[in-house]
Amino acid sequence: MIGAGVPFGAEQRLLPEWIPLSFFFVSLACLPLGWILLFLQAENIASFQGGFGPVLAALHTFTIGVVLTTAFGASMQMLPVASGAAMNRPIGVILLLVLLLSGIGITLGGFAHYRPLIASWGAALLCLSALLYALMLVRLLIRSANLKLVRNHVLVGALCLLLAAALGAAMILNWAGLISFNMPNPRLVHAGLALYGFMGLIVFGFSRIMVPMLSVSDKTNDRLAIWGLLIALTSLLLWVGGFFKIAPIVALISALIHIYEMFTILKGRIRTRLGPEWTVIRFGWIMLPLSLLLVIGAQWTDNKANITELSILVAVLGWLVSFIIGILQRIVPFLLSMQIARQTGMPELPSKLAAEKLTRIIGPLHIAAVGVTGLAIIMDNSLLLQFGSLIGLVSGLSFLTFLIIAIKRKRLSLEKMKK
Amino acid sequence: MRLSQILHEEHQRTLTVLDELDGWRGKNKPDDIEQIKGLLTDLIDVAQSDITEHYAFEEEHLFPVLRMNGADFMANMLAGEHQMIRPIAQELSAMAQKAIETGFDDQSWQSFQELSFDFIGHETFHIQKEEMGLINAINSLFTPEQEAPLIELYKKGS
Repeated sequence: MIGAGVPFGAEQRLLPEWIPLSFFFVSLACLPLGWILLFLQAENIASFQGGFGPVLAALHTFTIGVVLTTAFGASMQMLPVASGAAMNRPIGVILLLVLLLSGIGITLGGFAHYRPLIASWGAALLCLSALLYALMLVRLLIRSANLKLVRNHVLVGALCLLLAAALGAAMILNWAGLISFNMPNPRLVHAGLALYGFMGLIVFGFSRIMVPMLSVSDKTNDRLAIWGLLIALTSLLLWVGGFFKIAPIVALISALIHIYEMFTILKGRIRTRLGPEWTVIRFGWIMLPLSLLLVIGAQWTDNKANITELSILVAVLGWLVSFIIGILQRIVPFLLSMQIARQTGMPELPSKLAAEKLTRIIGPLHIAAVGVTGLAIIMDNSLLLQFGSLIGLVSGLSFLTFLIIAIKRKRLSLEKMKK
Repeated sequence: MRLSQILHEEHQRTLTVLDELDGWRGKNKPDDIEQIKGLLTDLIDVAQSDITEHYAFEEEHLFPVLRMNGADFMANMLAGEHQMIRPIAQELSAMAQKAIETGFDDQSWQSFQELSFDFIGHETFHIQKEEMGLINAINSLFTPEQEAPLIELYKKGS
């Protein structure tokens, strides 16, 4: 079977349209915003050694603004559709949305303006949203009889999110002088748990549903995925335990297993022709092991500064954001099509809702932006970094336009079908 | 073999033919009808077995069970798509049959291409939804014993 889900009575699994679209809209608004912040902070990137300020705000615009928001929205909408579980009540998802968005805004503001107390409030809201999200996920997945493997990925990911959020909040409270927090390398542990623990495992799990479905393939390998998850878990435990030199090597094995399964799924697809979004998805897959190689390089060599920055760029923008850009280009028209079906009984073809011309430039521009900014970091060249950011900005704005066009086309299609 | 597996394999076969058809997208008409004759024959076969009979079986024997189990939306949506795809498949099948007999001219090739890609889009999206929903649902709705007579019925019909 292609995909692994049972949208049994799928209309009972569809949230009111505006809720998932709000998550995705915020995510896609944060994408150009992140590039603008990177552009403005280009001269400070090279000297960034961690700590609070606009550079941290720029980084978190991508991580919590784009990636976390998409993960929350997709989990709340796509998991019920794909797992056969009854969805969470919309009011709970709305509360999640409010907590997340206010948390993001206040935290980023606090970071950018060196306001620790404001950032503390934002962190508290983000922690609450993480807790609510984890509770809703557990509730949703426990009621699902299917997708046990995805369930394991997502549940371990949710645990990592809680730990990463708590650690992030502790660092902010320490900065604000509200608590005294002493832990060796908290930033490293926080980054590892957030990027490879939560976001990584969510991507691993979701990919096993979305990639076969979108590429029309049934070549998943459950056994391999179980090994991948166990190895990923081992690497996360090593990372949290402070074994920073060994953990990324173990994580690399898990990543390669995941990538192998993804390419196997794609190779086994029935339809030869793939849409332009697959270029950026495949690029993201390649960036995952590359990011881990860079983490290994950063941990095993003395030249840490640039490699560390490069590894963060490759992990966040190269891997996670690339994957999101590719997958959302398919998910958004699909969801809108199902919303049309909910109202008229007949779905519209997703391809008719997607702005094809934009899909041809969004991915390539994003890839170019990652390439140029990566080169700029290696060369320590802020002008080049600004140029790369501008390319990313055009890609981000194009994607935002893609979303707006899809919503507009959905409305037109709905009016036409109702007539 | 479970009923879900039988229907799944038919979907796979249909998708394989659609993929081959998609390979002609944007191409000039074949110089010799023999170049495409095998594909046209497969297309006619798909339109008969995987569309006409497959759809009729689902509508008659599976969708009512889905509706009884509260999945009206899914059953109605899939049935609605059947209604939309069926005439496209029939017209395409007739075009393919005519082409086998008399070949394509520029105009008939253009019409064939347009209709083909309409068919590919709708049928692929339809199969994606059936694979996500219906195929999995069958296994939870029927035991192997319950579905045995249905399989017999389906085999007799096709």
